[in-house]
Amino acid sequence: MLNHTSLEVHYHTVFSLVQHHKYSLTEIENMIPYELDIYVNFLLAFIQEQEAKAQNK
Amino acid sequence: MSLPKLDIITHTVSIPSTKKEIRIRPFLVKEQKILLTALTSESAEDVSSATKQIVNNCVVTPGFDVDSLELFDLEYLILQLRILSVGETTKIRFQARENTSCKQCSKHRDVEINLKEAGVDMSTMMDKKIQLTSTVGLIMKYPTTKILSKIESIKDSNDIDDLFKIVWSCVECVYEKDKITSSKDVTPKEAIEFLESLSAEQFSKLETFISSIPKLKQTITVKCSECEFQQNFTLVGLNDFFV
Repeated sequence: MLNHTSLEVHYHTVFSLVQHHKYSLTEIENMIPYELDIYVNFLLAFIQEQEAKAQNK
Repeated sequence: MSLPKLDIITHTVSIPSTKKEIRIRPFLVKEQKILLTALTSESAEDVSSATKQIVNNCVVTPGFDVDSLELFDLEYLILQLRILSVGETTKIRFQARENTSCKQCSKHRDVEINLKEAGVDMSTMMDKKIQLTSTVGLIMKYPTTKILSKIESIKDSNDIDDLFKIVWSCVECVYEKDKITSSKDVTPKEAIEFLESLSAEQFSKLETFISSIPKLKQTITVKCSECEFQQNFTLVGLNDFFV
């Protein structure tokens, strides 16, 4: 049913969002899984953009 | 008294066996975690219990009883919840084709499938009345989720009595002329004695009924992008969809 993720990936993602990106555990746990995927994808795109900007400086 | 929460979108789904419409909401990340934890335990009982818990949480129609669902209804609802909560596509890894010179076909391939095209194949359904002799017969039923955990705990057993228990769980009642005996009023010992007394031909009628249980199915056509070789695959049951 959930072959798109695993418990290990789940905890790793949640930890990263809470530790580095100011999300709260409650906020994350009350999201629908596809919403979490969307936020993670936006965040990855944002980080890549920031990295590209830093390299161009 | 707790009031209903109105902050989440609900969707209408029709239960395949009864065509009754119910409303469901997507499962949340915290509910996904329950299932992921159960899957890690590798216990079929834990997985079935977690699945039922999630379906129970996500059906918002009052009076819904997950234990009364037939197994294929539960599988269908889980698939619909997955579509709503995660997305309607998933990737399935197909085996490499043997004895081929095509490089593409000789490798394992991930193929994206649309889960919305899956449905319950009801065409296998049979008459629930099985006539054993001219006067004695059985009224059968498809297994419900209530007995799912019982089946899970004994399905790998080699004990013939366990097999009889699974078969008996699909018997609604036994009739003899005008006398009807509900399967619930029969002790396990009496049930086993009754099933042992059946002839091979009579017992095969019960087996045929059990093998006719409708299943969640989807046929996929996979076409090779290089040699254009086309193969049809049929996915049957939730395990095939989400391995």
